[in-house]
Amino acid sequence: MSGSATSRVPVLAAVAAIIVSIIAAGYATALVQSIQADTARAVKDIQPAIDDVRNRLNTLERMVALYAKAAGIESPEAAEKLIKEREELRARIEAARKESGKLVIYGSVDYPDIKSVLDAFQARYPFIQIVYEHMRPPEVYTRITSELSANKPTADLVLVSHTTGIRLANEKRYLPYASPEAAGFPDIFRDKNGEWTGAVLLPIAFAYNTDKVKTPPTSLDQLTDPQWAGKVIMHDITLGTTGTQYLVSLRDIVGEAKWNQFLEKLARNVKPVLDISVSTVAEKVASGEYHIGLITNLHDVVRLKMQGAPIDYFLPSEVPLLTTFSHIAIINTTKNPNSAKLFVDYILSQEGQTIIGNTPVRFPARPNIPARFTLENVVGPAVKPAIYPSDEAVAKARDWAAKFKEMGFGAQ
Amino acid sequence: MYKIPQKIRLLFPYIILATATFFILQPAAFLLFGSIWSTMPGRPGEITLANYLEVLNDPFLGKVLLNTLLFALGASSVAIALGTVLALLVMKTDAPFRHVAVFLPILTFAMPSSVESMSWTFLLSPRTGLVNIAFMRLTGLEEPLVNVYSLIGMTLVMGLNLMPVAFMIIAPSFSLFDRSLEEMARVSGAGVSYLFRKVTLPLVAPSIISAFIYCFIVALEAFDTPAIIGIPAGIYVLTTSIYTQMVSEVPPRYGTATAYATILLAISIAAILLYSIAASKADRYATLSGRATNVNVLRLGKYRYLGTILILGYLFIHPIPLLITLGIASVHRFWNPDRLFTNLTLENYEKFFTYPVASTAVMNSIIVSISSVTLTVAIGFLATYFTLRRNMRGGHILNSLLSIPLALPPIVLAVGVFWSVLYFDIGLYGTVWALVYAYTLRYVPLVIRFLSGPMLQIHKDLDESAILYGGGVVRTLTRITLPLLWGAVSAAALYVFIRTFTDLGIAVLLVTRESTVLSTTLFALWNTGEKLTVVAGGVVYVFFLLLLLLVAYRLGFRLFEQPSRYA
Repeated sequence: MSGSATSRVPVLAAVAAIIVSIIAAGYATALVQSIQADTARAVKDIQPAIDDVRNRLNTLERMVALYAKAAGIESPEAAEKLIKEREELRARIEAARKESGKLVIYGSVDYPDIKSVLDAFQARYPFIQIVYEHMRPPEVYTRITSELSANKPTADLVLVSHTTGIRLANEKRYLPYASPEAAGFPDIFRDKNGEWTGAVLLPIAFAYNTDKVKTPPTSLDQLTDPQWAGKVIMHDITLGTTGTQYLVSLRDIVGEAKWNQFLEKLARNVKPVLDISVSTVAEKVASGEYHIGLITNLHDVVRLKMQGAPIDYFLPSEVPLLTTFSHIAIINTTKNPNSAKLFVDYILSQEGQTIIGNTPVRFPARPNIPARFTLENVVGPAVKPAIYPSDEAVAKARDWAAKFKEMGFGAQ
Repeated sequence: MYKIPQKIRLLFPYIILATATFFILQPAAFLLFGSIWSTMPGRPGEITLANYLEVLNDPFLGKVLLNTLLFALGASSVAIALGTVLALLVMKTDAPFRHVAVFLPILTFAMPSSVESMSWTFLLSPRTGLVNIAFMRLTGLEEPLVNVYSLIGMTLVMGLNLMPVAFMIIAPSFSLFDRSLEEMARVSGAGVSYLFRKVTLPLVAPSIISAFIYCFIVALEAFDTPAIIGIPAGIYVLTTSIYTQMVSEVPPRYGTATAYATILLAISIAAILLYSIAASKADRYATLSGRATNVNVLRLGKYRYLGTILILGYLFIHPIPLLITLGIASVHRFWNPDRLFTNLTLENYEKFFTYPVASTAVMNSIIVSISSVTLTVAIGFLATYFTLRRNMRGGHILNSLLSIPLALPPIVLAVGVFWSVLYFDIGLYGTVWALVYAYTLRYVPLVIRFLSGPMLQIHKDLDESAILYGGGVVRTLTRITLPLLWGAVSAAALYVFIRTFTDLGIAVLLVTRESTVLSTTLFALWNTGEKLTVVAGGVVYVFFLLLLLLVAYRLGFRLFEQPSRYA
C-alpha cells in the first residue's frame, strides 16, 4: 500500500498548484482589468488637459505665424534672418561700447525739432553721447568737405536735406550701410547701396494769407494773373537750392510748354519777390506782408496756422504735393561706425519715426507711423505726394538757376 | 629794472614786423589764392583767371557796384551828419536832455544790427510796418509813407545804425582841445555860429573825416542790414553777393566770391589811403598841450531850444520806437499787425532761455570778447604809440599791415581764418581762440583809429619832456600817455567789446557747437524761422550788455568823456 500512498502526494500537489495558478490567474486578470480601468479613467481624466495643451500649441502656432506675417517673415529662412539680425544688433551694441562713446552729427534739421529723438536714443544707449551741430545745408557741405580735405576730425553722421546731401553722396563721402530698418521704407527714400536713407519729409506747398485772399488760385494760370503783382513772395530760385530744384522737377510733371508759359507770365505779370529762406516765405505770408507765398515748407505753414496766424496752404490743380526729405548718412571716415549704425537704426525705427511725427510740426518719412503729424493726417489720405528733385534737377541746378535769373527773376 | 642788450633791441622791430606779417597775411593769402584757384584750397586744381572773368562778365556787377557805393556813401553821410550834430550838442552845449542823448544811442549801438534792422522792418514794411499802417489809416491813402525795402530805406537804416559809431569817434575830440582857443575867439567878439564854423569845426575836422571814412568802410562791408532789408528787396551789394555765392548757393562758388571780395578789397584800400592822407595832415591840429585843463561849455542862448528839439527828435526817430517795437514784437506768437495784442505769449523768452546751448554761448561770448579786447587794445595802443610818437623803424609798414584786415569784409575774413586754422594746425580750429584770432585781426586797425586822433592831439612835448627827464618807455607810457588817453583807450575797449559781442559775420563761419557764441545761437534760431524768438533774444541780449556796460562803467570804462565832468 505504501506505493499508492507515495503516488497520491504529487497528484495533490499538482491539483493544488493548478488551483493556485487558476486563482493567481484570476487575480492577475482582475488586477490587469482594474489597472486597465484605472488607466482608461486616468486617460479620460487628463484628456481635457491634453486638449488644452494641443489648443494652446495651435494658438501659439497661429500667433507665431501671425506675428511672423506681421513682421514680414514668411518662411523659416526669414525667421533665421531675423534671429541673425538680433544677434548682429547685440554684437553691434557690444562693439559700440568699445568705441569713443561720442557721436558728432552735422544736421540741417532744426535742433528743437530733432532733440526728442536724440534724447530717446541716449536714454536707450546711455553710453553714447550725441553732439548735434545745427547748420544750413550748404554749411554742412562746406564743413564736411573742408574738414576732410584738411584731415581734421569731422562729423560721424549727417542729417541733411537731400537736395544738398546728394552732392556729398556723389563725392563718395558716405559709408554704405543697409540698415535693417530701411527695409520699412519705400525705395525712393533709400539709396540702393545703403549710403543714405530719408528720415524726415520736407513737403513743399504754396501758402496764402486767409485775411487777404478768400479763395486761393486753383490753377497755374490764375496764379499769374496781374492782380497778384507785387503781392507774391517766392523762395529764391536763382540759388540752385530748394526753389530751383523744385521748379525744375515740376517741369516734367506739368509739361514743358505749360511750364514755360507759367514762368514767363509769372516773371512778367507778378514779379515775385525772392527770399533766401524757405521758412521766411511762410512767415511773411502770415504777417500779411505778402498775400501769396510760393515754394515754402508745408510744416511751417501748418505750425503758423496752429498758432492762429491767418495762413493756409494751397496747390494749383496741375501741381501735385512734391516732397523731398532730409537723409541720414554715415561719413566714411568715422571712427565710431557701430555707434553710428545704432543711431541710423534708431532714427529710422518705428519708435524714432513716431517721435519725429509727434514733434510740432515735422513729418516722418517712414510710412504708416501712428503719430500726430504724418503727411496723411495733415493733407488727407487722398493726396498722393510725389518725390522731388528729379535727377536732372540735381545735375543741372546751377544752369537752371542762371536761366531763371536771365528770365528776369531776382536782383533788381 | 632789466636791461635788454642793444643788439636785440635793434632786432625787435623786425621780429614784431615778421610775426605780424605772418599772422595778418596768412588768412589774406588764402583768400587771394582762393580767387585764382579753380577749386577749394587744399583740393587739386589749377591756377586760373576764370573767376575774375566770370565776375567781369556778370551782367549784375555794375548794378551791384553802384548799389554798394550809393549805400556806403549815403549811410556814412547820414551817420556823420547826425553824429556830429549830436556830439556837438552833448559834449559842448548846455542843451537840455543831453544826458539822455548820451545813453540811448549806446543802447542802439549795443543792439546787434540784425535785430535793429528787423525792428525797422516791423516799423516800415510797406504793408505791415506799424508806421505805414498808421499813415495809411490816418490819411486813407493806399501808398505807404516809407518803403524800407528800397535802396533809400536800407541806406537810412544803415546810417542810423552807424550814427553811434560816428558819435563815439567824434565826441572825444570835442572835449580834448584847448579851451583857450575858443576863449580867444569869444573875447574877440565871435558869435556862437561863427565860433562853431571857424574854430570848433576845423579843430574836430580830422576826427570827422576819419569817422566818415571809417563809417564808409563799415557800411561797405556791412552784412546784416543789406541782408535783412536789401536781399528781400532784391537789392544786392558786394557783401550780400559774396554771401549768397558762398553760403546760399549749392555748391558754393568760392572762386567768384573771393574775386568779388578782391574788388571790395580794392575799394577799401583806396578808402584807407584817403584816410592816411587825412590823418597825416591832422598833426597840425595838435592842441592838447600840458596847459589845457577843461572844456568850455558853449552857451547856446537863443538856440537852446533848437538843440532840445534836435535831441528829442533824434530820440523819437531812432532809439525809442526801436526799443518799444522790439519789446512789443517779442511777446507775440507770430507777427501780424492786424492781430496785434491778440496772440500774446512769453513763449519766445522761454524758448530762448531753454535753448540747449544758451549757457555755453553766454560763457563763450564773455571769454571771447574779453580776450579780444585785451589783445586788440594792447596791440593797437603799442602800434599807435610807436608809429606816431617814437617813429619806430618800419612803423608805417606795420601800420599799413595792421590795416589790411579792415579791408576784408567780416564774412571773407572769416573764410580766410577758417582755412588758415584748418591748414596751419596750431590747435585753434573749432575753439573760441579761432574767433579771438579773427577779432584781433579785425579790430586792431579800429583801435588804432580810435587812438590816433587823440594821440595826435596830445602834444609831443609831453612825452618828449618825460623822456628828457629820464623816464623810460614803459614809464612814459604808463604815467603820461596812458592816463591822458584813458578816455580814448576805454572807449576803444568798450567799442571792441560790444562789436565782438554782437558780431555775426565772422562768428557764423568759425564756431562749432563747443565754441558757439550768443550771436550765432540767435542766428541758429533765426534759421529755424523763429524770428520772434530772435527778437526776444535780442531784448535779453541788449539788457545783458547794458548790465555788463554798467559794470564796466563802475570800473572806470567810458565810451567817451562825460560832459558833466566839465560842466
